[in-house]
Amino acid sequence: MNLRVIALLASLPGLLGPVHTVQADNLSEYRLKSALLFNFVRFTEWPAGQGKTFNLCVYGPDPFGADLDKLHGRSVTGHSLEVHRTNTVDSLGSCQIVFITRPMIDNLPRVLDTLVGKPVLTVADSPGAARQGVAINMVTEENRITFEANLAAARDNGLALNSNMLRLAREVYR
Amino acid sequence: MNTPDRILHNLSAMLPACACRPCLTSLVLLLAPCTAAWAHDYSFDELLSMPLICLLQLQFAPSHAQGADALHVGGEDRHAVNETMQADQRMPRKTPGSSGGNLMAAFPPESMADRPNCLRFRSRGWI
Repeated sequence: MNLRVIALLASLPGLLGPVHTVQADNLSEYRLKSALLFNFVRFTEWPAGQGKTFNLCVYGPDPFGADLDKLHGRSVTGHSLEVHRTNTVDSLGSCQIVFITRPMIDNLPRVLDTLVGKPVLTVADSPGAARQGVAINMVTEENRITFEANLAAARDNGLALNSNMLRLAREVYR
Repeated sequence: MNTPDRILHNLSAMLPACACRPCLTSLVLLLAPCTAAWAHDYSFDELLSMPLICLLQLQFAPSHAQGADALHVGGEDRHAVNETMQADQRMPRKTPGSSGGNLMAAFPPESMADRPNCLRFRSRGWI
């Protein structure tokens, strides 16, 4: 039998068989979140006068690991990303992007107080964080990551979130 | 339109806009199930260059350590993680040399209703 016919026949059970969901075995949750974080920066507009470097700060125990380091030095919207990790709220004022980790979410009011009015994009992945004032919150749904945005929070910090990005959000708080 | 083109066209119309073209090509031209063209084996650089709409469609495999311990989940969240883990264990695993799934399995038509972003995205263009 021709090899192509064998290949075709081999593919048929998969095509016509029971429906399964394919998972990204090698794709960890936070690897995907790192890539999404990069996209959120791409689709956010900062006020003029920002430096050449954007400090991307992870507040709390780093869940991203090495993948986040791969963002270090990458250029996005004309700015070079620098990755920092910190456990102190006071140091967040020098960041352009702050990711608030889950273990630190109880400290969110203090973080937001520190950053209010500053051109800082706040990102989290904790339930309800966008409603509480985080600009972008990643939400896990059936092993996919979606996000919700708080437009008012971004605007209060002088940031503009791209409208096309907002159309992909599951929820936009205005 | 010749037959492979017509098949490709029909599949494209049926699948979400972010269904990966390498996978379609693999299916139509090589007459084999999709292999690594789905989320399984994207490098981090590939993820970074992927449109946002596609990133939002990718699935991650919950790491058991991450799922329950590292993320400090509790209550309803822990229940969800447990359900996910059980579902994960029921799924066919990708092993070296296996296909890891196929086109229809990855985007079954009945699940498209759950992907409004992809469907809405068709008329808008990629970001």
